[in-house]
Amino acid sequence: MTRLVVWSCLLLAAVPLAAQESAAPAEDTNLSISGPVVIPTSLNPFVPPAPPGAVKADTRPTMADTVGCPDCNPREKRFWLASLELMSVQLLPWGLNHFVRDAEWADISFKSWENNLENPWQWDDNQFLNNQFSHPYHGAMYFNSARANGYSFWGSFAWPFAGSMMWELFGEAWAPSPNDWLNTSLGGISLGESLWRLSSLALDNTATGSERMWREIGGAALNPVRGFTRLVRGEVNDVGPNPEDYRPSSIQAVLDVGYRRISTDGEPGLSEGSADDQWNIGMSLRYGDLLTDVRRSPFSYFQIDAELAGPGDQRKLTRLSSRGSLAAWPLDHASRHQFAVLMSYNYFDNPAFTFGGQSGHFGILSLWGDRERRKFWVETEALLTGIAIGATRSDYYQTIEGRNYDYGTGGGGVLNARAHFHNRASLRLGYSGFYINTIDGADSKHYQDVFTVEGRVRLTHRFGLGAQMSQYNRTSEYVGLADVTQHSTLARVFVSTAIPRLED
Amino acid sequence: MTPRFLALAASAALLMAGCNDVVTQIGPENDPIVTNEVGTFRYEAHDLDDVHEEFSFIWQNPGTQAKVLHRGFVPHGSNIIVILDADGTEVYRHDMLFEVDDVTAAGVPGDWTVEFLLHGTTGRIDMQLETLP
Repeated sequence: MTRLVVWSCLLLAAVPLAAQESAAPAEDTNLSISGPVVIPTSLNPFVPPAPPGAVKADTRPTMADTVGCPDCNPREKRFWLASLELMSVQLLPWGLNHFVRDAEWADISFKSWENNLENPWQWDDNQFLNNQFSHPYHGAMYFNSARANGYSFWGSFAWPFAGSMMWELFGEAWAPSPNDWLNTSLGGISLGESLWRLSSLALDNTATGSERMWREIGGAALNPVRGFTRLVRGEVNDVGPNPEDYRPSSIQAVLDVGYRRISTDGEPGLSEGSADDQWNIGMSLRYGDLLTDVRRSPFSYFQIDAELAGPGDQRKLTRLSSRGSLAAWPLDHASRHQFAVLMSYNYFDNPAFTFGGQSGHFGILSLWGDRERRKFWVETEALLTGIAIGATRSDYYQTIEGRNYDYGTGGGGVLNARAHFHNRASLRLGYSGFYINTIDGADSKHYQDVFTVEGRVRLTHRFGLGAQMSQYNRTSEYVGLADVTQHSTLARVFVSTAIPRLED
Repeated sequence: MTPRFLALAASAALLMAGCNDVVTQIGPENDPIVTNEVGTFRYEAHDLDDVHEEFSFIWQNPGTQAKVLHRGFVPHGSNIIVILDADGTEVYRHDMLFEVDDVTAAGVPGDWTVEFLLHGTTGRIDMQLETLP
């Protein structure tokens, strides 16, 4: 929790640092864009589009011809250092639990390895935060062990799978868990590449002095494995050019602070006694441009969202999600309609809605209207979703360890439309429906959907107001137990801060 | 009998042996210890290795509830504890894999039944009950 708050602060600090570089003339970079930035649509809170050239690629190439650029492609692959770092990431929590906490599960031996290799894998009963956040975060570090040592996104893809397998079989006495392996691996890739790119925003190889120090600290906080690699390789002091992929063609973040009311009794509406009032802080960052970036390397176009809320019985972290592009193909000459493949990590835990999972998406991303002159334009997306592993609230499965959710696989779809009015106001309509077929938990099928309406109005270049209403519905069909239907409503109002500031 | 037939027969025998897992039950090598007194109950067994067994005890509980403690560690398989009150109503059911401090639901005092359902259980069981008024 504390770590998330620190991350959020660092992330928000990193964006303006990167944005400062927009002072570079647009003609200096081939990554600058000619029109307003397209902001991807999703179920996430709306972010007004960034002005043209709000953030551009770092364009200080004068040193590129004279100074080496170790991070530039093709990068040197350092397999052994990557492996050492991955094992160190495992040794730290293991050592803490074995030597300090004296945890029995950390008593590993040849016998525990034999047990883990011989006996069947078991779905574990850990709490939602542990399984759906902590494991993916560790997977992100496995992924970045490779990423920080010269491997591309696809070259790093197998590392969290291998790292998690190593941990499950040899790092703990508990039986290996399929849910841990899948969440660590797939979630690690989504979170890992997001954190890789966010840490790139903080870093600047051309900086010196105290600015350089704070950038390195920020980058290391966002991506500790990368920070460690840069430290041991002496790169924290090396002055040189920035690789092209350090900066996206556009970026926009918003910080929303406000109030929300969320129903708690499973019935629609927000009447007194059936809903909680909570403070609410949301952070959303859009990275890359729909037209120019979605077809570039994986996660050249992604979005990450985090949300904190309280008071309440549940944890303050109520949402963390990231979704990034893997590949795309244009469907028309101007690339205003594209067939895209994406992957996502999701963590939602609030009084109305508990869901976590690793998903893949494919479908059509489109841009309609006159975005170039910022009059009226609409972004839409129609995606089909495959859920490799999903955890959703269970009405009957309750374990003594605190697990209260069912695990399964499933699928669904996403429809989103976001209309922009002169870059001063916007309206978003979103629908997401999916189903989970339970593999472990109460024998069941869960059908869920969320409908969201959100409006935003810009008051100044920096500040705006917004409101959102969401309706969540769940029908859970249980074998041998009574079916459960839930309808929950969420409403929120907020003040929004744009980072960097928005232009007309 | 041709060599091919012999090879096939040997393979089939090996296959059947492989499919025919030996069902392991708790034995003296597991040092099982039962302490069963009015108001307190404890069952311990050590070094379990893929045990498949179901057994139960009758325990006299003068109270309406019981405190449940588990100090064992079961990294593989399950160790489901089911407790029935004097009327046969289930007042507790959980898979006890690690340290647990819990309480049963309220039930009728008298002879309570404590069931252990072990399936593929590997590790150590140490389960205690103490009466609550």
